[in-house]
Amino acid sequence: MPEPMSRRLLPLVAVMAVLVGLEWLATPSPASAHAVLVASTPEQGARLASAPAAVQLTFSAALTPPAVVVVHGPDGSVVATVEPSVSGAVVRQPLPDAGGGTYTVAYRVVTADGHPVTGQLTFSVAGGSPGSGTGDTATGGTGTGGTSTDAAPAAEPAVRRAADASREPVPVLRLLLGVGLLGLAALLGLLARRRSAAG
Amino acid sequence: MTSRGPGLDKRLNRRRLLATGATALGGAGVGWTASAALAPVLDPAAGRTAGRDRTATGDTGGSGGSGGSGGTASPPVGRQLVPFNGAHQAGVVTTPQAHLSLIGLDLRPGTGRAELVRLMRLLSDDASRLTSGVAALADTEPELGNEPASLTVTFGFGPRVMRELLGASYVPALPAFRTDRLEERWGQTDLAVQLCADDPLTLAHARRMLLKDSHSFATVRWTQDGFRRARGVAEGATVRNVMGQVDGTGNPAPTDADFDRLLWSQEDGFAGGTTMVVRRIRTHLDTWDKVDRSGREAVIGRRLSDGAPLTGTKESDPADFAATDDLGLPVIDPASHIARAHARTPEERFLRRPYNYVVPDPDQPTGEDAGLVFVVFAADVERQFVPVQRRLAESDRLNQWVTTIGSAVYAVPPGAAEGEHVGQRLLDA
Repeated sequence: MPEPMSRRLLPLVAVMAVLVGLEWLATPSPASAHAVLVASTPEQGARLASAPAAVQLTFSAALTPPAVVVVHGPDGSVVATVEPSVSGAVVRQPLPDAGGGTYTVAYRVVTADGHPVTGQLTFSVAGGSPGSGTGDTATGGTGTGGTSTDAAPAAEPAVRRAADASREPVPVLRLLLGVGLLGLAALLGLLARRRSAAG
Repeated sequence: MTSRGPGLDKRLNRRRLLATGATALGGAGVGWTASAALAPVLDPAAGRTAGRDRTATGDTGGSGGSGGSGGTASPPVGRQLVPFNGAHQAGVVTTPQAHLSLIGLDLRPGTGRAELVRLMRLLSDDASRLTSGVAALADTEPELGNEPASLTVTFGFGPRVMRELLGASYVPALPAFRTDRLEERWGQTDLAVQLCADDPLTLAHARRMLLKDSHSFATVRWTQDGFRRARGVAEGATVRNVMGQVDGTGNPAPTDADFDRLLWSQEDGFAGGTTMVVRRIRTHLDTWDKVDRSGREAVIGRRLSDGAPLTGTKESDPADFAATDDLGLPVIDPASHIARAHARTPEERFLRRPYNYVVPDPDQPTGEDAGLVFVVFAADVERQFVPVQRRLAESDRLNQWVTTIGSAVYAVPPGAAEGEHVGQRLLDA
């Protein structure tokens, strides 16, 4: 008995709908193409035995050099450093040893589309008096701005805290429509199966 | 199994297929439309179009009319005049008129000093007439000379002419810059004739007359036409370029104490002259489109709305390159255009007199070649302009979206006295 056309083609239609939905979700708007920090060495909130020789920041997209990095040492003052290097999506900032305590590394990088991405990383090095620097070892920085670091000892990745200079909105509608379309496609697929089975 | 029969089954199945297909695609259609329609809401940058911020700052202080407006009522724009004769050539310090036509001429082989004198006499004579609202000699369209519209004609001699025909000791030169992508078709020529006027027809007519004068002596290598704002549009405000930026803030002003020293040469036999740099800068507007507003402001170091530095509140505020934000980062990116371009010494200042250009070009992704005819005047280009341009070539965020495709330098002789031709003192010497 030849398969009814619907049996063969409905799944295809459903797949088509799924693909259309996925394409939507994938289509980047200018806002969503901007880079975020995806990894750093040391990690945000890390507690190290000794000062690292360099700080490495990895972003989600290629950068246009130069990068701007400003390091505040345990005593709260700016630590003089050489220029950071930029290679692809990675910024490397050599770091002189400024003793024990909290270090704050503020950065601003620019992606290929000219968009500046700003953020801050804090970590602490053993030694130095407790509470040295501008505050707790757990909260770094100058205590202002949207880059407030999480006090939890479990080093939360900085990616969730990096402040995007333009604070672009999430493409909510696109997201909802995409999800809706996927749901619809799934529903149609189910209905098609039920109909064919009953017929 | 039903007993409907194969034909009915097929019809029902096709209907079902069509219905589900239609639903799926219909859903997609609704989604696309809604998404697109709401894009300006969802992505603020997408909703902003060029027309929104056409506010004139008026802050820079109107530099007055181009001349002829001494009384309580100035003559109509078409009748305004800029004197041709004087210690300096006109069209340098003159408030930039609406239109530019800059011609690069190469002398025909065999053109020597004597021929150059004859050429400069013809050109100077016609320029003097046309800029006073009088027809050129043997003018084929004399009525077109009736509305001078602040016409100025400025002449420059290229390095070869200075060296070989004039035997001058003062020969301006420009080095190559790493970021340049120079094309010979926009390159160094023997002579430059800069025509500017507030009316395009006046300009076209003057250009036509002067090209007729020069035809037997020289060939045209290039004509660089450009535009700023028409008279009566955003007057008194610093002009904007095709990238939408306020362009020309911080230009030396005649009221500055060091203005004369920055502009006019003191060289022996050349006092009152100046040097002109002409650089054709193409803008890559297709990739510039991908840069959002905050990115654009960070590239330059100035706000788009009013040209104020990011550390200031109005255009005339000096930029504070040492200012930092709450993270300790410099507010103005050290690699931004103004951070790299700003004068490190009082000498690194020069008069910028740029014009926008747009020409159709099917080879460009946008179908147009748009940019700046970037004209600079300085007493000593090597001490004033070159260090700045070198610094920009080393690093300037703006480099990603602009490319210099033409570069030339000219000695602009002192002004001609009545009855003299331009360059007379140089050529007579």
